[in-house]
Amino acid sequence: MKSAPFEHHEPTTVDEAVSLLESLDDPTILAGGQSLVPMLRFRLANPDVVVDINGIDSLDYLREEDGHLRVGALARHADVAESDVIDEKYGSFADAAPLVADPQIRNRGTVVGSVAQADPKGDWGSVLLAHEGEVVARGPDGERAIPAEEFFLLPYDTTLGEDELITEVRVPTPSPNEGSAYHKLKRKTGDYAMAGVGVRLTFNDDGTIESAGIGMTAVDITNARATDAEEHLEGERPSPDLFAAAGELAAEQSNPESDEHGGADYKARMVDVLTQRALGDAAERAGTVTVKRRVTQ
Amino acid sequence: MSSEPDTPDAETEYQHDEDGGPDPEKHCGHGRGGMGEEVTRKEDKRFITGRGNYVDDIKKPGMLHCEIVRSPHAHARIENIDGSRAEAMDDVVAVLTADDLLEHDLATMPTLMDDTQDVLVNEKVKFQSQEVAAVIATDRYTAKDGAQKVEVEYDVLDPVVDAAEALEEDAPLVRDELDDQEDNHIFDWDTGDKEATEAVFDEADVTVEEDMLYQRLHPAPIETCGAVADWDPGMDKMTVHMTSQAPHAHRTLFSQVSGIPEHKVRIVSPDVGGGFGNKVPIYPGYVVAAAASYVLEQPVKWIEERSENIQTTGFARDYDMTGELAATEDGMIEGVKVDVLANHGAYNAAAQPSKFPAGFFNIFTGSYDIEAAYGSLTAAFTNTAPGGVAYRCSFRVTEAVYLIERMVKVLADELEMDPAEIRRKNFIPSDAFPYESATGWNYDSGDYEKALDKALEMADYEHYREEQQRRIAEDADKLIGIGISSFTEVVGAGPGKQCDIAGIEMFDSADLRVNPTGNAVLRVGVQTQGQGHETTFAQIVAEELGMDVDNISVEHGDTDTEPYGLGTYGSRSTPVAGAAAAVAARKVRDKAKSIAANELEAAEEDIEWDRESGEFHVAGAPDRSITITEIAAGAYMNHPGDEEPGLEAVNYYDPPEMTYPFGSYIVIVEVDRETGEVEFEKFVAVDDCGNRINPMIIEGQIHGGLAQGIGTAMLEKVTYDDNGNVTGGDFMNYLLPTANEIPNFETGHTVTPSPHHPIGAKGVGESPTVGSPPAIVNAVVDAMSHAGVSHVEMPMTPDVVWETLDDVGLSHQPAHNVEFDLGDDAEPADD
Amino acid sequence: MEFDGEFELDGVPPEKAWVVLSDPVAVRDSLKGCQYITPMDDSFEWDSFEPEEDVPTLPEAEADDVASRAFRTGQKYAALMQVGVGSVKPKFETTVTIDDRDEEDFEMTATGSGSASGSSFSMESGMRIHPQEDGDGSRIEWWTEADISGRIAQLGGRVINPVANKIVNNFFTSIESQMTDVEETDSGVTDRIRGMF
Ligand SMILES: Cc1cc2nc3c(=O)[nH]c(=O)nc-3n(C[C@H](O)[C@H](O)[C@H](O)COP(=O)(O)OP(=O)(O)OC[C@H]3O[C@@H](n4cnc5c(N)ncnc54)[C@H](O)[C@@H]3O)c2cc1C
Repeated sequence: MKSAPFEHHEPTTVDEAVSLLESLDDPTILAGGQSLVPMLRFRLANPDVVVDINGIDSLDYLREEDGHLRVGALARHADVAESDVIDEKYGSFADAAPLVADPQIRNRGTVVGSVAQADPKGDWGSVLLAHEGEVVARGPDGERAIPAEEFFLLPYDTTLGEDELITEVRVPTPSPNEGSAYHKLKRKTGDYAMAGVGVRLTFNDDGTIESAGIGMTAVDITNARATDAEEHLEGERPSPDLFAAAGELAAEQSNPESDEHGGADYKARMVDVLTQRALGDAAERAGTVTVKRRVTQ
Repeated sequence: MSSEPDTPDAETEYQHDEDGGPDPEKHCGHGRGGMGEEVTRKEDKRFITGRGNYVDDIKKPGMLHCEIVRSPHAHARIENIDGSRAEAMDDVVAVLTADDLLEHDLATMPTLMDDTQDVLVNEKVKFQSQEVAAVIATDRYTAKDGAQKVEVEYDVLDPVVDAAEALEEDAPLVRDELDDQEDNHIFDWDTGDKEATEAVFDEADVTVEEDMLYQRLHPAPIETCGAVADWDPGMDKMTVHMTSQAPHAHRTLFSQVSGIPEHKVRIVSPDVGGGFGNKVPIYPGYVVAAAASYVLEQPVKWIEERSENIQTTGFARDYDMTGELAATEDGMIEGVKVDVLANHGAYNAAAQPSKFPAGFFNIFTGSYDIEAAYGSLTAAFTNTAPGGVAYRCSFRVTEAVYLIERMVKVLADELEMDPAEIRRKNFIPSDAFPYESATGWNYDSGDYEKALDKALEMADYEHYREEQQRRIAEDADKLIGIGISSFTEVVGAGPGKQCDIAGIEMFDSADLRVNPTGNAVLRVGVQTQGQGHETTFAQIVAEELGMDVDNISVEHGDTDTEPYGLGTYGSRSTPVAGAAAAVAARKVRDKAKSIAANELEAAEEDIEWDRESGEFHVAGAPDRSITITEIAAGAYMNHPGDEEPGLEAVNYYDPPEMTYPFGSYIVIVEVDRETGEVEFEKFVAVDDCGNRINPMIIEGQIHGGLAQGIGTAMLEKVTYDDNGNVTGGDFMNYLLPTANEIPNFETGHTVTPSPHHPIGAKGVGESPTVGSPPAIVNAVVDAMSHAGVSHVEMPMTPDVVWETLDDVGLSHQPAHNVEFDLGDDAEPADD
Repeated sequence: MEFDGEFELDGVPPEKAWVVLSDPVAVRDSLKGCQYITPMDDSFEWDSFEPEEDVPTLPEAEADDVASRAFRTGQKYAALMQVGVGSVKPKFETTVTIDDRDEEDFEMTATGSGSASGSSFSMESGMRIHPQEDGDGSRIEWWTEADISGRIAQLGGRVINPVANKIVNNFFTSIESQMTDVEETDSGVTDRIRGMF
């Protein structure tokens, strides 16, 4: 890695980091480096100043607290994959973590860094959208929580201020009637998604769907919600036909481009397939249905 | 010693058990680490403990670093290069351009196919990332900073990246600097008997035709290319440590390019982290490093980045092929035709023996006894990186094997025959060897049916055929496909009468010296990049001299000390240098015999060699014996008066023929009708590489090659956009398989020795890369052939497979086979 | 790659918009990431050039200054542009030549090229200011044909298109606020400047 020279700062507290971000000229935050370092290596990123947050121990957490699952800025993808907190209840997290990149990248790369990177092909944005999660940022003016839906603007572009640091992302702790899942289609380990879909289903006591969240990966200029499909599900009882209709609506709302990950039509079809599969898993995890395949294979 | 060494007689020297495996009871495996023993690789200790010594590990006092400035354009005339901003930087020592190289007559270099390539672009850039200037600095970071400061003005021209478009009338001319080049056409080549083949096709019951692209691949060795060049003005000597698969040939070329006499050029190829054909050609980076060292009189290191390696160094394949077969109604193949359009990139820089512009592509009759064959090929220049190297294969054999093995499947489907059955019907029978093919190859030995039968049994073929039918009948979500490839390679280039590279015949060499204390050093002209030569060749010597393998070390890769050889690629090391090692060992043994007579105080005629015990003994008196280890001292301290002292022999081996390894691979896949994903259910590889030296190394070679075959079939492709930008030029986009993509391999073997090779071996390192892609594609096609699919292009990523499924109405929606169980108190789901 | 679009400037007549869009300093100020736009000759040196800071634009600027520094047909300009998203912000050293200026129809075309980080681009761009059909403002039509090579092109259209659009949108939003300032400028001044072009 032959990056251009840069100045390296290593704060050990969030306050220190925030004041560095405020005082330095055009600083770039370094977390796991799994997106930034390749850019440095290609010299597509040429920051003069890097603020390395890996020394801020207080950001290294993943816990359930105050009605939220809170993922601190130094929680690595691998931490999520291995965490005891992440079980059936957080099905989408459990599904997504081992599907991100490859084992080496998962050991270094952070969930928050992935959200900050705002790659439309990144997986975590869709999970956050499905759960109606939030991005918590600290800046010179204090802390603010940005709803995931308002966070992503463009590929690699977000509403985060230049002097703000994301301290955590969080999603509400699921109710017992809730299930979630993430499905991703990729060409190989270490490949970004050809398409990915995260879903959350919250059920009423009568077995109808109270609310649904669906986030889509790699099929729009940012991670995007499939609101038409969500609305179509609400108030209904799960069935293969209902989920098929939701899949169709999600596919219609997606806006993929043809590229090395496949043609636009294929990706839209896969949104449909993955939505149906993820809905099936989510409903099962919520304990409302058992999905059976008529033919075993 | 004047007498010739033992004549090679593979059949009797080594014997095998019923399965053809080495038989420790018989001749193979005496416990000394000779033939057939699974000796742990000698090289592993240093590799596994991080003590390997690769080019980038080499550091010399005062060493400078070189970074190459590359063109962002695929096709552009250079109007001006201004290096002044880089030169003004502290720690930048020099900026080199073509003008500087011209002063030293180093501006161009010959390719292996006798074309001339710019070292640094003189007038016109011909492919993206081509070398335009070089920045030399005291550290590699500054060199890169400096490279960004070199200003190049380009007049951008329209590029052409597609070979077919390159041959159109109004296509941009890639090579306008060549006087006789008015279009992008490089050469036409053909093989076989056109008329006879046409006649067979005219008369045939059935003919089939299929178009298939063997996509552009990159060998992608994990270590990229690099060099440390060190001009010693005191000795007038140039030493270049470089990533070379062919150090001697590179020295000869270096000498020719630079004008430095050959004996004043030393090429050292230290540990090399994979070559796969990529490190056979000479690249501008090496020459620039050497030129810079010469000019600056300091050592200069150049280490290529990953994307530079993928974007500019020798690619492989890129053959756009149309195959045709003619057959009788009952499936006897009578004729084969093939037409190829080859994209050679901006220079004709393929690495082939010079009399074979299309390599050994004319092996495309494969394992089958086909009466008539005709092949034609046109090669074109395009604005893409030059190449056409033999990526883990003998020259263009991979393309040929893919063609014939795909076509046999196409024919089987057309005739609704079992693809195993149709192969069996058409195999060259085992008693027909030596066999001359319709395109003129002399196959040494083979027993194709035996290998296929073994593979079918291992794969549980019948069971999967039934399972396949069940899935179709039940309209299941996952289809089963079974693919077979019964390939034959031609490797071990090669006989000097046929094969040369840049005029140098493709012999190889071994120099074996037994030291006074009874251990031995073998020096070989080939070079290892992970094949395990240090072990395998030591085993050959151990076998021939009855020595313990631990007492033999193998040296390679240094032109100052090793005998001349053409290098390692095309599975030639064991067939050629392995033979040289065996013959050199036999020469040593012959000489040792006279010393043994002297030591045992017997007449030389009464001395017998016992391979079993690895000793000489006096005929009729087995306990009067002596080992070569014991003899060694005598050769130095008590040599017979009529002999030269010492115990050493050299052999330059010119193989009488090529060798023809073969095998049968069976791949069983599950195809997901919802997503197009392909999963391997079973992967069986039965190989026959003649006599087996180290079965464990063979197994390792098979595993590695199969992984690369999977990469080829499923993932890899170097892609370009219309502007000539490489869009598959790094590991984010050029997809190498990881361990997760690799299924469990079930390997097996048969042994059909090569009759003309001194130890009956054939070469195996490339069989799996060559043999597996058609098996994999055949399997995926097979999953859909009941619906009329005859071909799927590589790489078969899920989107490609799904589009095919969808085209023939096989794609499924998830709801298709799904029911929901809502529990007792819920309403039924399907109302 | 081709991009084009339209932009409405309410209340700013074409004559005034033309004056602002002809001022390299005003353009620089509205182009996020643009450090300078300055006329260049053969002796121009990227490394040592220091742009003048805080140069006033209309309405503060002197009419003579604005007129004398306005884009001229045939003139070559050096522009240092840092564009991008997230951490990808290559600095492009860009050379722009004004090919044509039509003072009657308020049309300007330019060609440019630049390079950064192993990438380069060349473009042909143009813009034309029309009077608003239903108002006294302007409708600005713009178009660009760009060829991108190297590393950035390898990122693909998925990234480049939205970024290019963002740059243009930001530009016009920002120029709009400058125009609003100019609106307050006496049209006599802008007419005088136009007279001096
Ligand atoms: C080969 C490869 C494959 C990959 N595949 C996938 C995949 O399949 N799915 C997927 O989701 N991702 C994938 N990634 C990206 C990976 O997930 C990265 O880990 C992640 O995008 C960035 O996290 P990081 O901690 O490494 O951040 P860094 O690389 O350190 O930073 C990334 C960006 O976010 C900013 N940033 C980081 N942390 C903060 C913070 N706390 N506050 C504000 N800004 C911050 C940085 O300034 C930088 O701009 C892949 C990466 C590679 C190299």
